[in-house]
Amino acid sequence: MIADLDIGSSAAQHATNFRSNTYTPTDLFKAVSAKITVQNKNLNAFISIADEEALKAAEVATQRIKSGENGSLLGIPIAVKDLLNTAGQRTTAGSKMLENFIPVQDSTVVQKLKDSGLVIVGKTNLDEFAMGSSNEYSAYGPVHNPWDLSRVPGGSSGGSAATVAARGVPLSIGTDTGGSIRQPAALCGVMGLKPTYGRVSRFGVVAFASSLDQVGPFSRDANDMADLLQVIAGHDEKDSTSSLEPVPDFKSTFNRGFDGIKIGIPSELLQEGVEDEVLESFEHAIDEFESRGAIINRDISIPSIKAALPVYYLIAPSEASANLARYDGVKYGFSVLDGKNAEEVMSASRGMAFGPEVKRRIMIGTYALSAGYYDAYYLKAQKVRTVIQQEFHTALNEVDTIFTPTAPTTAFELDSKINNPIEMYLNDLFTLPANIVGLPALSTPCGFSSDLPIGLQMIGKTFGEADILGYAHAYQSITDWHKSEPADW
Amino acid sequence: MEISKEDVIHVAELARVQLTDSEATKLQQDLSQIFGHFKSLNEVDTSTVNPTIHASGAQVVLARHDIEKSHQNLRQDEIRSPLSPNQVLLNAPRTEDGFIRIKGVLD
Repeated sequence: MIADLDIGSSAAQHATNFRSNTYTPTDLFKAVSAKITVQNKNLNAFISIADEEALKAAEVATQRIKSGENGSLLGIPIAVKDLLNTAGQRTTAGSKMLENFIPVQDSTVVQKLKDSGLVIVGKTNLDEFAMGSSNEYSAYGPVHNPWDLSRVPGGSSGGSAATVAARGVPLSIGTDTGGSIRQPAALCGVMGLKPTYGRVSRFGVVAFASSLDQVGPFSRDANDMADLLQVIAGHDEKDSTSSLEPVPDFKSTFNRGFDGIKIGIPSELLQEGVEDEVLESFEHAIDEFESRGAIINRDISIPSIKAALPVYYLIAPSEASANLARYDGVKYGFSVLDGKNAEEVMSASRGMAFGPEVKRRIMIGTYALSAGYYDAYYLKAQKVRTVIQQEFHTALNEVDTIFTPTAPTTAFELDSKINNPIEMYLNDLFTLPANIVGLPALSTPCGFSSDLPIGLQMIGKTFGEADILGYAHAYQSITDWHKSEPADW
Repeated sequence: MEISKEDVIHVAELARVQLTDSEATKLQQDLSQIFGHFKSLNEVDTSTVNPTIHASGAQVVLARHDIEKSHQNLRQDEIRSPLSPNQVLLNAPRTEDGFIRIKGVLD
């Protein structure tokens, strides 16, 4: 072990230490690999931990740094949600359906990480096909929250959040369809960002709900997060929904400070179901902004906000039921192989390999799209989605950003909500709207309740990632919540 | 809203998902409860809006005139190397002579 190697440092600190020759990416990779392997016995954050290929990548990065190459994340270890294809490395989507699936191509995001010299140390655990808010629906067992092992890390990107919180890696990648980056970030006390829909390529990401899915970063501070978003953002000809919008310098806003930031708070959302301690921390964060010159507007209104939950839980399962039709026990994935005919093989394979939440959503979606119900459910939901979009855009004409708590509660006990889907779905109340409207949104730590972290959500304007990163950077310059780490890791 | 067990079994057939009897019973309860919550959508007036087709408003390119109108950078129409047959078949559960082998489609 190298004396000055602190695995828990930020990516930026590691990069500085690489340049001063304190240690190399190879040294760091070996230390990280050993640490996450030990941690995994308790956290179960990883479905697979990379060895030879990652070691080679670390050695290449070591050489690139020796030869004087720049690159803020060159040689930095990163964990990737096991929903993004990695060529030659198993990608399970947290499902028995893909337990032996070996992609032949990298997803675009993984390709970009590799091109920039990041070292992928493993694939993280998740709710099956990214469907869940607690990581309890993984076919590979639940992830545990590093702040309290009896509690959930949130979901669906629970493994990516937990390993960053436990100082296993400084950075990770998740996906967010209804809060699956931001909610686990909040529950694990780290930062998580869902970019604007179209900002990051979805090519090679196992599809859940195509009009809502986005890939995004986890980190512990805004500086590292901006660096990682810089690597993964941008148009991709392999994803026709990715945007041609130019990618700005995501740190261009870091000197902005607090003065004159117009922050909207949608009072409708805070009326019920939010824990008192969560509200207190949220209001305290608002006070920090206001006392430094931000302008707080509590009069903005999203009248249809309560419809966001039913809109989401119609659109996402409908799209999922279509996307998951590809798992037929024929081309790839789990197959029972034998049966009376092809159709029976298909039904039996899907019945055996899909878990309860995936089946529930396929059933919701198939029912909602079936003859006679399409207009009443799916079409109506897409129209209400337009209304919610219009209301958000109107509100964002009056303010620069909308703040809410990220989740209504802190991390809950394992098994406490698993049998009540409606209660589980309520976890996503604050995070769903950004997906429905396509807006960028992040969560940053803003306090604790009984030693469990609380998250502050900042929702930005379309393609306004740099703005909300600037607000988060300002907030992190006056608070230490993001520096708190769970004991004994 | 009450969804019958027969409805659940019918939808499961449409979705090609084999369910056990206890799964069907649980899903009947869950779907009845969940679709009951969807009723609140009717409280939102949508008489003057169109359904959403893209979350951040990008254009959908369907035809030549759309291409000319749009700012989409469509790539050149050129041949690129596709995946090899071996790559395509790598994850197939059962193959034979470079094909995927399945059970009969017709009885």
